[in-house]
Amino acid sequence: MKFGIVRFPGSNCDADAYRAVTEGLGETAVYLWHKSRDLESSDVVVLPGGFSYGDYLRGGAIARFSPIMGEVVEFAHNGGLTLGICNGFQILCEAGLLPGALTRNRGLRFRCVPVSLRVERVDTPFTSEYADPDVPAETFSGFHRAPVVQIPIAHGEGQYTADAETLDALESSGRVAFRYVNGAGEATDAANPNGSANNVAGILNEAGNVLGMMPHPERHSIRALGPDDGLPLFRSLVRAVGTS
Amino acid sequence: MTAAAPGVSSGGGSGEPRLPVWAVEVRVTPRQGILDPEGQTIQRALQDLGYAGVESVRAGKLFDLRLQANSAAEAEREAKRMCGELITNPVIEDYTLSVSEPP
Amino acid sequence: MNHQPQPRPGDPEISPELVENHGLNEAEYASILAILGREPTYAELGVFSAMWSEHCGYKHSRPLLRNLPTESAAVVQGPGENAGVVSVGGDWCVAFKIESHNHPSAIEPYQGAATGAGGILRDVFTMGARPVALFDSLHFGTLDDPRSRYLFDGVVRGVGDYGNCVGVPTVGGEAIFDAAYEKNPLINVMCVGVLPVSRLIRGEAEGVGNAVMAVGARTGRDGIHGATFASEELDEDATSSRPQVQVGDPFTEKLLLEASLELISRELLVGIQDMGAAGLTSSATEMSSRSGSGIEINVRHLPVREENMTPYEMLLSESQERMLLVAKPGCEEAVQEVLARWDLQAAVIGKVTDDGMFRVREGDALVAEIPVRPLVDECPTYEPEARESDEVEAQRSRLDEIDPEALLEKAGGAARALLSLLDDPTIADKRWISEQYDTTVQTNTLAGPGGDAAVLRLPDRTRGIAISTDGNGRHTYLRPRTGGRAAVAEAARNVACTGARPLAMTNCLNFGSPLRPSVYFQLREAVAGMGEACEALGTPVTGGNVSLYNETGGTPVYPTPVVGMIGVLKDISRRVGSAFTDEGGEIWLAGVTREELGGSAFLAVCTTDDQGNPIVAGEPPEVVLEAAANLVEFLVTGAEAGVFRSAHDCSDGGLAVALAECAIAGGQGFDVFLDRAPGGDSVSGATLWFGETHSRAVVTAVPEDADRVREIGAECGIPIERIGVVGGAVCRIEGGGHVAELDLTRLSERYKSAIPGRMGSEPVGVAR
Repeated sequence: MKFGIVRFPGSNCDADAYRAVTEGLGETAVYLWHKSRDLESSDVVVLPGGFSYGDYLRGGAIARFSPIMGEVVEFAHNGGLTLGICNGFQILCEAGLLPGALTRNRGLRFRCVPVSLRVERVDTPFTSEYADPDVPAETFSGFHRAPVVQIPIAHGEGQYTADAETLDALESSGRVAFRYVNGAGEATDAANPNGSANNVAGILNEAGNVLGMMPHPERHSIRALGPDDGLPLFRSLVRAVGTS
Repeated sequence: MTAAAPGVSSGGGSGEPRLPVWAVEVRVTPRQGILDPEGQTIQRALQDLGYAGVESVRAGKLFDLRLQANSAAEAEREAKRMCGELITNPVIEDYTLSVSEPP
Repeated sequence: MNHQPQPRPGDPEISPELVENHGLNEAEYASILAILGREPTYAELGVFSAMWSEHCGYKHSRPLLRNLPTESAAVVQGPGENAGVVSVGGDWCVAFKIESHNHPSAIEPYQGAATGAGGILRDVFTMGARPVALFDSLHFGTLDDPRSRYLFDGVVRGVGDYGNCVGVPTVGGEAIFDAAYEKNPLINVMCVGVLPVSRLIRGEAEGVGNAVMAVGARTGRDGIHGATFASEELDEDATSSRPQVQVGDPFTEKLLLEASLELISRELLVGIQDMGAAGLTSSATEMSSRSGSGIEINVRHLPVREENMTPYEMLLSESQERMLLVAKPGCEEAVQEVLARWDLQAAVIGKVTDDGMFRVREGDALVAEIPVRPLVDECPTYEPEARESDEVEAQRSRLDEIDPEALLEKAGGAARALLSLLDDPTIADKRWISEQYDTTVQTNTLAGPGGDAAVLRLPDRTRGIAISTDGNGRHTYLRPRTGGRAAVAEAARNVACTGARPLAMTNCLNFGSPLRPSVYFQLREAVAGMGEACEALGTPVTGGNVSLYNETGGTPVYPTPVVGMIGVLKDISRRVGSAFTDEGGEIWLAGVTREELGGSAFLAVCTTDDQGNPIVAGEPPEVVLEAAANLVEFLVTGAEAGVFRSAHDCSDGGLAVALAECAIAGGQGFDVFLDRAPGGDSVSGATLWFGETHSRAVVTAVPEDADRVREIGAECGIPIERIGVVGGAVCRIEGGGHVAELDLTRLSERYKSAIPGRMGSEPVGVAR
């Protein structure tokens, strides 16, 4: 299967995503240039982290007008699996594929730290491989929840913001995919690295085929470099494509 | 490059009509109810410096556009579209704008 | 056509005052007259002023730097290029360099630091290397001083925002807080890049008729005479009167980076260079000087962003994110295509000639015509009077009559002193800084900030490089030659702690005015000491930067030579960290402890003199070069053999602080008895705990490997003794008649809260 990784001129986690797919996962990846209108038959589209067009206005504000984004929007509307990481999450929100917005971190500083995330559901195309067969999944709002994983964040504008109605809709329909938690799995304020509403770290669209998340699973996907808690996310996508 | 006559574009291209130029000022602020950590920080800092009367601070952005249009009303319509499309994100930001003849 | 450059209408007349204002003395001006055979035009005067500034011309340091070793089997490119390059084995090379941005950061910390990062990144990618790491060595006043907090906050955000946006991880560095840097902070940034040996390209302008192109941002009036500015001392009112602050644009930098690497890999270029200090002037003349060619440019073709710019301004502007390149014949269009793909503009502004002249036209008018060789290579050099100041001599002997044990008692005892040292921002946890830096982008970071050295994986996925920056201004102040040696030895030791073998280094020499005999003495001695250590450790200098005139109101900063060391790790799976991780592991101290408390952090932080000032006195610890080399061998051998479970250098704060750092990093307590340490029974208690004797390291190994550890010590000529064990929630140190038993959590809290506690939770930048 093939991952298409979009390269905006200021993308800087494109190579990391490429490496996670090829070295960590052993699958195929291609770069998709932002000026192109061809997704090259990718099975999954990844919008990687970085500063797509410098992002001096707002993260992702300009990227959404790029030629490739027209294709990505159509791909997503047709059910194509689309993953936005960090800046990619910002772009998905700006493009209207996901609700809400990412604003400056509560502490007004860029933060690069490993964070603990609770995988809120293991029945999505992005998270199925987080299910631990040996540990009975605990249920939460009717959805299966997996154990806590460690994945780094690296962003200055990652505070997830949405109005109360949107948040309610996200919560009640189980569309919060990842939440910032402490070591014990509790979504406390101290465990919230950027002030995100409801400790939201990643969300799904209504159809469940678009995921945006601030943490960087691609940076924790190569065993030789350390923890690889991000790898199951990519493995989940392989499984989802294989069974579809 | 030669300076344009006040309020009139130099219309670099050949044969383009010379439309009047308008100064559009767009003021973008965090939407009411949205956390504004920058404003809050400045407010606390001002209070620490002894400016006890500071009741609130909102931090925003200012855009100064020069825009060709037939009329002020048209310039305003154009600018509003730009705000909706790119300059602001309505999920988190409000804006006000004013149109005037450039100084 | 004119045969000689003519004054341009509106140019000021060349007068003695104008010459003086350009930082040129009478003898230098006489040389200019002799070189040109006539009076210079205003533009030419500006060109000479920039190229013969301390920053570009190395007037006071060139004769000293000649004595540094610059060659080894690994060196591919030594000093004189955009960056040094060493071979790290296989087909891979590493390009690296350190540079200062002290004065710009003193005025506008955010932009000063950001543009410093931008400049050094360009120096590395113009060698054909992809930047893989940034390092920052920062020196500020103490955090009690509000302006120092403001500068510190702005500099950290500046380095961070720039590196984070370009996508180069900032994986380490150092931050030193001392009143000596209050008015004149030091901001040194190092960049490391990786390249296949076949991609190496240099800043050369060869091939008569080849097109010279300006690429990147448009030229404005910012930073005119920045190079000259960097070569003067800071005025008290520097904030208002200095050249326009340069503003960094990391997005354009990212485009330049990608486009440059593409141009280089497609072999479209003859040469490429950053328009850094002295902008177009230095890049054009240095490129042609390296090739022995000439260069002719027409400033009318230079893309500008302000109106009515004069040739003088265009030649000397230091607008950021610009590069000069020389295309291969017939490749101009292909170059333009690549640049257009990255939304960059290029303008052909001139061509390579063969007459050895730097010729500048404005349209048809000739505005400058200067022979390149004397302009670039014959900057007058000086070896002024060098004399040690009496004050320093007095400080050195001041400790002679003081009993170290009395000082320790005055400091409240060993446990209290240890807590004070861990609370000192220079020693304390630097997460407040490093969490604002993207440390893991590019996914090569094996060890980021916080250890002895950062470790990155190389593209072959087997080998790694280790990097460390070090310097000790206090030691250098007290004995410059020792300080120069120490900077090299400590950086090498830090690199070796990870198991990497030190390979080569870059240096940044931050000193006061060389016209002060006491400062020139410091510079001469420190460089000499540095050279001795480089020889002994086999780590040549491949380039660097000299920053003089770091003084305000007549008070120079501590002489601060900073070393950036690169080492190679043969097998990343054998990498060693500094943390105590294995409960039950045995703790060993390698290297002899001597009665050397002079210049220590203990004296400076825990004790005060009768006036209440920190004590900066005594003879700083000697650097025994043989021991330094042996310790490196010991650390590398033990790591490669897979024997060491952890290794950590003893430096600031001595053995007690080193042990605490290992414990905090690993979340494991320990129990040690220091009297067993080599030399431990013949030094005072204060020195045993807090002395900073060089060439020592704390290593751990499993008990079964005890014989192996002793063998490796013996093989490498390093005295070594087992001093305790790892484990538990308590850190217990006994030795020299003192005992401390401290909860690890308490130590850890002290260590981690020192900087955040002083900085508050919010950015300082919004309220100066």
